[in-house]
Amino acid sequence: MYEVKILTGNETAAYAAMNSKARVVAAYPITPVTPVVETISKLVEEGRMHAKFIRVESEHSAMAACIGASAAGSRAFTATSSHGLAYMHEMLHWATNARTPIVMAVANRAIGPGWNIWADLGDALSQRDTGWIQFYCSNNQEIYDTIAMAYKLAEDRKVLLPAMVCYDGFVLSHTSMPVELTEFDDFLSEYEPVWKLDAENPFTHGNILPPEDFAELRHNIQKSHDRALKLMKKIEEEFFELYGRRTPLILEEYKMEDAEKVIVTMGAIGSEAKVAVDSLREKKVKAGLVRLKSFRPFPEKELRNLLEDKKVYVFDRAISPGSGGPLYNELKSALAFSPVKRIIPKIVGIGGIDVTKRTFERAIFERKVWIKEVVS
Amino acid sequence: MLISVRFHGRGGQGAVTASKLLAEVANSMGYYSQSMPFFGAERRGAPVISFTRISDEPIYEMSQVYHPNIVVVLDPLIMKVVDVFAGVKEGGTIVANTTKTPDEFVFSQRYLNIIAVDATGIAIKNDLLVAGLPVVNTPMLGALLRAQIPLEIEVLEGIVGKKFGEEGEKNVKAIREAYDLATVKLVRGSGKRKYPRKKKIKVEFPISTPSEGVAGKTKLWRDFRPKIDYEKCNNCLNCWLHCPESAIRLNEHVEIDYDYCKGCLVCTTVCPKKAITFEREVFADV
Amino acid sequence: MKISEMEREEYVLPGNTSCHGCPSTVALRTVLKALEGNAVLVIPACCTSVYMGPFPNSAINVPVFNTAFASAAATASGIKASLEWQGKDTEVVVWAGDGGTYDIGLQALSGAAERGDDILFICYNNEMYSNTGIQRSGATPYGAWTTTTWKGKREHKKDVSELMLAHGIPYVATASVGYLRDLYEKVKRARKIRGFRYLEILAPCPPGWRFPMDKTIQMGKLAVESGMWILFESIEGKLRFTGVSKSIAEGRRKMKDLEEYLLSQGRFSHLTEEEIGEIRRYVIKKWEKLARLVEGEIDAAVAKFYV
Repeated sequence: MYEVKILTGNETAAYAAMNSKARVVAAYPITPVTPVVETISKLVEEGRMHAKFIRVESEHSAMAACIGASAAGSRAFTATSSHGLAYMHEMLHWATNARTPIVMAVANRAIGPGWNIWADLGDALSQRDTGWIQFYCSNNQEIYDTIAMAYKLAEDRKVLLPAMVCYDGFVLSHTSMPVELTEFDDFLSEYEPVWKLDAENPFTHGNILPPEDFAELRHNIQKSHDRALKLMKKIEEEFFELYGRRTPLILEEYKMEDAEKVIVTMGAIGSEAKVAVDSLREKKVKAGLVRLKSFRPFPEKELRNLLEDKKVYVFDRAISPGSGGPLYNELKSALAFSPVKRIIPKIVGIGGIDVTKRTFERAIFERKVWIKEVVS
Repeated sequence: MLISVRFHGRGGQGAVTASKLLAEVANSMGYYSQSMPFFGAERRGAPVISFTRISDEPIYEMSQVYHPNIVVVLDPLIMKVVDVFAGVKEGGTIVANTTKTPDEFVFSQRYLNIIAVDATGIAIKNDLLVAGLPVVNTPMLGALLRAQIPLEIEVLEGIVGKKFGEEGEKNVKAIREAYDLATVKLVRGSGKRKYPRKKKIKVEFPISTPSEGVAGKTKLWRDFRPKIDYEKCNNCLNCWLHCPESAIRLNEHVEIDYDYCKGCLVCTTVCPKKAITFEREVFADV
Repeated sequence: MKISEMEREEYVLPGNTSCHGCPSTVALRTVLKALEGNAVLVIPACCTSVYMGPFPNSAINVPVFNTAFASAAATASGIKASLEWQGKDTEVVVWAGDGGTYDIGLQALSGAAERGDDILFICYNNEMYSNTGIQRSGATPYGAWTTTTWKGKREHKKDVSELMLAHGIPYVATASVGYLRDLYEKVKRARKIRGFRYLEILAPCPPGWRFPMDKTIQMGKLAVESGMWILFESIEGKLRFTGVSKSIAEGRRKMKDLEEYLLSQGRFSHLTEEEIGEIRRYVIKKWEKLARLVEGEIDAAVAKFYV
């Protein structure tokens, strides 16, 4: 049983948290993710969402409260963006080492100054080393499904890691489209923690961890990421069998069978890229697309298999100054010993520059790395 | 020539300062030197190690010292929990703060030089106390200079005298006393003491179990031993209430748990009957 | 309450890694006894995060959740929300030093207090960052030596207990390690009240303040007897002095001279007459300010306190 509603990406995220049975939400408003916070507040006050909503005074506290709630045994949810995510940084690390499987929606936005409220994946990509699982979505249905799937994955005994579900600010966060509001009862039951804070069973969490034990913890976190990658395939299948939707967790391929020139990208522009592939194919270019969904864990092997013998164009909607596009760099190292013809970096859509199919075409036909204007 | 020195002490005794002073002495005598502390998250009383390297060539090692020529043991009781002899080179030197004689030390090397000195006694005598605890680092350096090491006591005295300001004189006096009073002897090894080995634990979650003695038997931190005179004690429980260590047990009457009492002596000051006195702690079995 | 009637179970276990004469262990021990162990402790970076000892063991025998320095109150809010959802009446207690309360932790503290989250926030205030080795904090008094104020701090402390009064929360109290029974009773009373509660304990630290390790309790008493630390309790907005501070305020007891308190600590040993005068003025102002808040007929005249 489900209804189809026309929802923005933000509203979708709020409904997903509700139907995923998140029981504690702590969040702080920031453009462009504010409507998630507002919608959850409304759902809780109307008694439709059964959760405690903590209206915290900052993002640092939002993540701290989620960590506390998760440690005490509740499914916790939050949402943020840009400066808010940067302000959370310390607690993102904390959530990982604490092994608290929180899920967070992130509406990707640039970080100032100058003030820029528009889409840019730099906020989330600069959190790549915090140990969080990172998914980048390309439409609202995917946001909805991925939040539920992220809980399933994050809470698995073999994983126990926090996960962020990212979507481009405004481009998805404020764009309305039909979303099937599936109820997840068959897929996701109430959270059953492996451990929780309980006065009946006292233990101390997070005291001093000497060097060798700390290395062991960190190694286990790395192994959990490896296991998460394997589990993703299983969860995709289970989800498809229950709801009939092929929602990818690792990556999505488009016209890859005979592709010679392959676009690799993430997020909403990964949807636009499909149009670009079609357009390129009309111009007799054998184009294809790999839209990466999981940036952490990074699916090296899967990408290697797909991109052998191809000419690869990597489109980053983010820049790591002094290095280049984060996705480009990760991919370059993943493909270092593969027979890939060439890997070409492209930087597009920075600070919210609209990315069209022609942006992709121009980037591929011209030798420019940076496209700093709208190509209409 | 590379001389490496390892200092064992407890937080508050000045092991790190001693290690650095030694490096300064070497440096001012024209040697290359390095002093490297290893910081756990010490409180006063917790085991501390520090290292000094002295060489006539530039020093590139950035790791800890595992095979020292000289070991300085600032704490008389640390040997109970830490293997201070570990890795010491044959014929090397142990400088120990102890009331024992050199012949009483047990180690597996064939021969070691043992330099024994009661630095705690010297510190108390010269009023080298911080928050009531004896600081033994400078007298221990005095004793150390009796080892095979090309450093001069006058240089050490000069540096300490300058560095410690008003406290300089007391420290210099303690250095000289320790240098003069230390017993030096070449001792034959007579076996190996056993130390508990750390168990390897799988760390899936950073979760710990409540237990007594997370820092071991903290009686080893005790310089002073409180004692209840049950003739005077009226069991008012003030000592129990105020013990920062939870080391006073309630049975028929209050009892000090001498396994864990650190000897802070708070109990002696809160007893309305003045029934708790103290004396300097000397462990017979160490 | 008689000592013999107090909880006998130990929740801070012996053989931990605290310093000799630690005021924090003895205070925490008393607090957890008063709560009879039915508590989850949230601890930000502070001495307690260290003296509970290293993995895989811990010296604290109630559930403990360590959290980052700035976020103790917020973490506690999250834990409380979860426990409320589960229908559990466990007390969620923040146990923070003055850094995690006055300075880096202030924003989260203020947020949780304003929201009225059902938390007991306890600050053990040793008036400096002792965990990192004696640096100044917002709670360090004027004139005190620390390793970031070598010639003595030039500013007076701020007062977070007053700030908490201004938040309009149902319970604000101060206590001192010098009076553990008073502390025990205050925790008992705070436990009966719902909502955000704030309790601040003066915790004289021997290595940090530079006094002998056996004098922790005496120093806690002397601070109150000299008027430097004031014991009070505010329940639902009704503020009253307690213990020795009450006797002083009611003129039944003379304050000890401030110098006796200050000069028994190494951190104040360099103070000049003028600087001591500056502290004295601050103390008098503080008494007057608090006296004005107290209901009833207490005369706030300075002369009365300093006879």
